[in-house]
Amino acid sequence: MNIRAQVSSVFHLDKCIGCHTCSIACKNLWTDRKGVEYMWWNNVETKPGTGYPTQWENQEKYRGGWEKKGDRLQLRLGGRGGLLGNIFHNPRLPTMDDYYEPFTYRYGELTSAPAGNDQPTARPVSMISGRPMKIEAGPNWDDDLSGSGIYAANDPGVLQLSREQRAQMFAVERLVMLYLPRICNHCLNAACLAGCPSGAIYKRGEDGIVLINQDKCRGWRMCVSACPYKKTYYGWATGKSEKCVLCYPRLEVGEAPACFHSCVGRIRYLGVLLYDADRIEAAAMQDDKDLVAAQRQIILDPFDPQVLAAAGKAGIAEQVLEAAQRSPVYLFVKKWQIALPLHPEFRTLPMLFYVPPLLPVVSEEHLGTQRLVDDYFTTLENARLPLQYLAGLFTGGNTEEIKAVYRKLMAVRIQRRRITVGDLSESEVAKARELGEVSAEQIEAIFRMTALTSIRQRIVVPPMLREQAIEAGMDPERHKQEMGFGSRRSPKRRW
Amino acid sequence: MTDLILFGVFPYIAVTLAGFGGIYRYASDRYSLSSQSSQFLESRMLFWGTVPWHFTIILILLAHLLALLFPTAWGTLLGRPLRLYLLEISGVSLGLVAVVSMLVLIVRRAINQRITTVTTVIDWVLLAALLLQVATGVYIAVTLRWGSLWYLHTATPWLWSLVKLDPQVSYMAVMPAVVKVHAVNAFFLLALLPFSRLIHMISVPLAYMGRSPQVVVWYRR
Amino acid sequence: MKNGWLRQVSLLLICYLWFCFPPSACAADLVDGDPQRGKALFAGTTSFAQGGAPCLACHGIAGRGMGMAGGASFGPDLTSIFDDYGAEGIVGTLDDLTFPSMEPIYATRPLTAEEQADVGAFLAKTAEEAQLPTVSRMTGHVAIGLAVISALLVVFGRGRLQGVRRPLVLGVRTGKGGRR
Ligand code: SF4
Ligand code: SF4
Repeated sequence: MNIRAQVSSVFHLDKCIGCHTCSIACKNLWTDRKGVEYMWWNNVETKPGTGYPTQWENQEKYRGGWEKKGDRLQLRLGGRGGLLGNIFHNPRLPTMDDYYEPFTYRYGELTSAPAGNDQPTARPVSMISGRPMKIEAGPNWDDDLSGSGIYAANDPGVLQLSREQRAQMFAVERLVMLYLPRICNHCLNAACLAGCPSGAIYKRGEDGIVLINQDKCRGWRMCVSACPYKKTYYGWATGKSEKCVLCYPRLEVGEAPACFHSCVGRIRYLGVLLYDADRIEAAAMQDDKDLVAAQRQIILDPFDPQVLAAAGKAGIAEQVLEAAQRSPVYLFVKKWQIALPLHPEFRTLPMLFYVPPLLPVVSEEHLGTQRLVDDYFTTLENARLPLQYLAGLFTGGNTEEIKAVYRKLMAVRIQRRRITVGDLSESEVAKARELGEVSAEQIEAIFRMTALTSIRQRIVVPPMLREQAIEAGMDPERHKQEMGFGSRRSPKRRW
Repeated sequence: MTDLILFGVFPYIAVTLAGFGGIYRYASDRYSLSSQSSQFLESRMLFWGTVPWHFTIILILLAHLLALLFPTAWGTLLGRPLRLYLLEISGVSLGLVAVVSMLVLIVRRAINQRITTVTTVIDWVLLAALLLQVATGVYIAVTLRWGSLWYLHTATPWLWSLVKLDPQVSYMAVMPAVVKVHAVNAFFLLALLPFSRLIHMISVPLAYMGRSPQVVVWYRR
Repeated sequence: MKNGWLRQVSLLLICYLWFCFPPSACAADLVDGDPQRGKALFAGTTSFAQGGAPCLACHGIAGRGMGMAGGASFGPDLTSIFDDYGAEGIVGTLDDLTFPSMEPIYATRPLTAEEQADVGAFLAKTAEEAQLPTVSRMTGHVAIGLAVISALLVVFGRGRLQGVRRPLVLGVRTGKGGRR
């Protein structure tokens, strides 16, 4: 057993209101520089939709993530030799046109235009070349199902459904959507990392955050292609790849990452998970349908004395173990088993989990308003959002796994409805609990964690103990009156 | 006098610039030790430029290097007329491809507005020098046959005399102008190495073949 | 290598002779020269004892066995040099290669007497043969080389990602691709 700690998260999709506050918080903090305007380390997609970059889930095109080659895993991008052979021209690099060309408007022309017969207009100009351009796409171009005939219809998940399922899904009175906020998953078996020819990408041992060393990055762009979630981006002005850093400077001082902190729907949970690093590869080798279970299995119980002892031996600090015991992520993922990884079939073992949304699945249109269906127990089979679609997103196509989650979520709803509205009988509630395999106490705990928590319960930042770590390596006294450790250069290229 | 400066002095200046410039850039600005890729802004045309360019120029450079380092073996290799001819034909073909692909790269930089915004003056200097180098190379190979053989008895001894700090300028002094241009421009390119994107030559990521697929870094271990 | 030792001995002998009589002192006699050996020296199959460049590096010649490689063009073609210079002239020239571009190479690496004789004998023999139309044939062969490289490139370039969003949107708008 080789125990490591991972700062991981849960996004509760039933709570996301699609406000993009998270994206803006991230943008203001990290990606408001030249060359990274187009990057959204945090983005919120509408599903069904093609997402950002367009059809990122289609690995036939982008070739991200891992695939099984006999009894070992290989990047879908190719073996090491093939990857180096393609180093002069990345065969699977999405170009700016697959994201969008960043633009602004010549607002000045609105006020400075000479008097004339026409209204002055502000023309859109490219933020790259500075020339007038035709806007073809933008961030969240398909937000809230806009252009659904093009975008939602060509969602790779939708394309996998049968013709009937699609027709059912796209019937006007049934069409439904959900928001999918995405950041880097800080995977255990990160494909971006494995694909980096320069060895610039690394996982931090203490907290599992995946970072790109900007001084070592040579801009080969293989990480962009290798990451199946398209969560590393190429900075066209600096020639370096950049990605979500999970706001590690904020975490190190005990603050939540900016997107977590600003989340209006309070959908984001953060906490430590302990896992067995020796079993990463074995877990990633399972068949598609077993990947979720395998990933759950390598996550360890932070209350198990054996685990604690081994963790102590592996050098994980007491305070971190204590934080792991308070981790809401552990509850969602392992204890209640209602949070699932996004696209486990990419085999990177993503450490960001999603509670799938109940409302779009079991609501119906009634006299012009949306409401929950009354018949809880049969709805899953002909759910408004086909279960195959959800299984394609969260369980590698395993519909049983996703059904189990939904039965739990429905049990929570039924029990709470009996308590608050009181129009259901206890026998109905008991039946729901039995189907969902949850106890009444667990339901109350899930309910509280979902609806009534404070930020300190939702976001349990482990003490990062950076000061001790730094002191172990260098003497702070010697660096007195300096601005941080070492010199600082701006990320600018001169040649 | 001119010959002495061009073939006896300038090479040393170029090597010094390359050496010290390279060390300076490595030490002071490791962030920029790469060639800034523009594939993200334009990918299609780039393929027809960069891929043939790199593969052909690597092979051509390799031939120059082998003839310099192992002149006897090279001479034996080309001792049969058929081998000599095959090598020359291959060389000319590779050279022509290099010229065309360099033209593609130059045109791409000139006409694509996205790419022009990420192009610097030194990029243009470099591209022009590279074009001049491959163009003169092909011209020499076609008109002054067989370069792969006389190189051994002119350029190789001259370059070795430079290494031995006893420059024998006479070898180059008697050469036609185009050969002189080719030789001087080669050292100009060398001098340009640390001051341009050419520096990416030193960042060939061969270590990738051997490293473990996952990299974990600890503060304290 | 049946008479390998013979070669060794003769080489030793040459060296000895060269020591006793420096090359310029003894003009070689073409009659003694071996055209076969001369050809090998000309093409570089056998190196000159002093390390001079093989003639073929720069000079074209239409000798049998040189094939297309006989089309060197740095220096003048030597196919019919025998007719112009005659035996005397050839030997004299080979003995003292003081053409401007040859001087740096051969001043310190002259041909030995025997080599002069062999090369001279070879040149005497080639005088009857006709020039090959090298350049046009070469063009054809280079074209083949270019075709091979282009084919490799096309194969290498197949299946690369050629944009996703634009083709998708265009396809749906024109009803050609994507799905409605
Ligand atoms: S989501 Fe992508 S970028 Fe993030 S760790 Fe995983 S493979 Fe790397
Ligand atoms: S801030 Fe929260 S609620 Fe708003 S879009 Fe982002 S994740 Fe959803």
